[in-house]
Amino acid sequence: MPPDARLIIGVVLSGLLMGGVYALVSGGLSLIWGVLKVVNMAHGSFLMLSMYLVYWLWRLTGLDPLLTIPITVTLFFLLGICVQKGIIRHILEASLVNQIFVTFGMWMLMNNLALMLWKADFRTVSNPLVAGGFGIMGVRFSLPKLVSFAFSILATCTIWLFLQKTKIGIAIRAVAQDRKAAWLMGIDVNRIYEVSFGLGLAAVGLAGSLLANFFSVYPYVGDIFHIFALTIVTLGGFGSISGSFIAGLIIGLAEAVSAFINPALKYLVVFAIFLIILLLKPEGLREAL
Amino acid sequence: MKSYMRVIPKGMSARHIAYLVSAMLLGAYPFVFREPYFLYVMINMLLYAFLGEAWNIIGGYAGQCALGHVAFFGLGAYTSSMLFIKFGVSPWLGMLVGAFLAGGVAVAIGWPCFRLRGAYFALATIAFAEMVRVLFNHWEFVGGAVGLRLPVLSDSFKAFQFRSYIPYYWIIFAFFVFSFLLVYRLSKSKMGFYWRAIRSDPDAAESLGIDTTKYKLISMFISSFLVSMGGTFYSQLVLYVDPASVLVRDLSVRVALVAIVGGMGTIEGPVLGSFIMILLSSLIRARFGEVPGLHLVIFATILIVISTYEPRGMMAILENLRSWAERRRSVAAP
Repeated sequence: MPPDARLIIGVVLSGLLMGGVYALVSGGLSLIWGVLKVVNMAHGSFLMLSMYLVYWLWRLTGLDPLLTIPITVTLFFLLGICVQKGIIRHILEASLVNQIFVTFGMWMLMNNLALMLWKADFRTVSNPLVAGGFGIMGVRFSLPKLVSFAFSILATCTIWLFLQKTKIGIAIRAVAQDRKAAWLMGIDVNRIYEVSFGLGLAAVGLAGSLLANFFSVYPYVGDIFHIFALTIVTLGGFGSISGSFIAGLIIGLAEAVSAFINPALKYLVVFAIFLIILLLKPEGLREAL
Repeated sequence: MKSYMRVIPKGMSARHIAYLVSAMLLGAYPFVFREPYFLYVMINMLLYAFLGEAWNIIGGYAGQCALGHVAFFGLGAYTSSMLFIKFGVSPWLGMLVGAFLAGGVAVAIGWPCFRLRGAYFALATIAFAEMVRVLFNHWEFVGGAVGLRLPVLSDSFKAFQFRSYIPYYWIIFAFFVFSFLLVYRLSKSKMGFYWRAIRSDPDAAESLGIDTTKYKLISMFISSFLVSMGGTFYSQLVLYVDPASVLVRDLSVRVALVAIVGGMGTIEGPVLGSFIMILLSSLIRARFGEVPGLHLVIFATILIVISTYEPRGMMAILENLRSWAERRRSVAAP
């Protein structure tokens, strides 16, 4: 293969791998949005918290980021239930502005708390279990990205199967479609909300464990992931796990290719996609899938 | 009671007296507190009150969750600064150019976005503001990520530059009074009632023959016009403009939250919200020193609690307290 082609294939694959992680984060956001009809503006900050948790676990106990997965997933599932019980439950019937600003308040709270406690320093886990890269036919792969992609796909498929096959999953979809009808059918709607928010944050917890392998942690690290996740959920259609998965790959690809052409373009292209999708087809790809 | 009534001119209520007293206190402030720090704190308070009033027009009265106002703030700051640096145009004129530019952009953006319902509108405004930030970050003509440094000159009204904070105080005080009176007039006007109709039920408003898009666009125009003026003021105050200070998402949220904490859709709300925020941050700074983020942590907590339990803000809490006190008095009196 000519070196140029190798480089381009490398860029495309790297974008797709990153897209897998985006898909995981967005899947959580999409689930919360679809079931509770609340846009979680603090989603990225939960990711930031998870990354800090992983970092501190590694720093204080030497636990490898990959081995923290059971801890982050469990803790963030429980955190999701607590947030749902403590805050979100009270604003389900509130006006949109209030819903958005409660979650914006959570965003502000977590980001500034992180800034206060851990300063604006960039922190990186050094020598994780998976590091470096390898080459196949001259195309370079980053090992942590590949592992993250594998875990993300696994998790996304698990969530999807859970929603399709299990009793609770079907109940979640029923509530997403029509909460009143689901309630009349005897579904404990409040419990479904708690499970959904918990699952949404568990996805973020997992993503934190994966990203900490190759991404620096700082108080605002969640913000850019949040904007990406909002773009992906809009593109994929809120509430659709498969939609956000495909949209995640598209955005990962778009980011990598535009960054390859000109690093300055990277975010601009993603935001432009966001705005264009919003204006042309705000219901997203969901119906096409 | 009767003799008390005679002192007050006809048509004036207790509320108007409260306005006048507050205005007099604010007017007396720079004569009492002459230290730069106290002036700076109060300038910030008035700036946020001014921006909060501006956001209140679109967010509080017309009920549209606009979250990209920082883009208009940035446009104002950049336009006047660029015109001054490149062509020597007085920032006062630059401010007007920037305000009309911001208003025009707001209408151009609002036109397609107002078709979007609910959260999608909010997301579109965020996407727009982020795009503007990234654009300015990489646009070398306007200084890129480094930003613009305004030349420091001697005191000059024409150049909108002063050594002392006192002139800045009077300017932002005038801006604020202007915005307050404007919102007061608008809220009592026919358009104010149209906005509230759109806020409470857009479909019903449309069916009653209100051109909802038109009135939303007007409120967007006025709101972004004012916010852009605030941007120019800010750039003249700190004499430095860069994307990290005038185009960050935090600012969009902060502008909106002074209005939300104080009370959306009320004239006094943004003033109250801004007063609480600035008081809190100065008290914390005095007590704990420079702890980055601490005052925002506390303010975010207040925002969460208020938005969750009293969505109508501090104004509603005060109102509840007043009616509670009145009930107690009426129970005690007979």
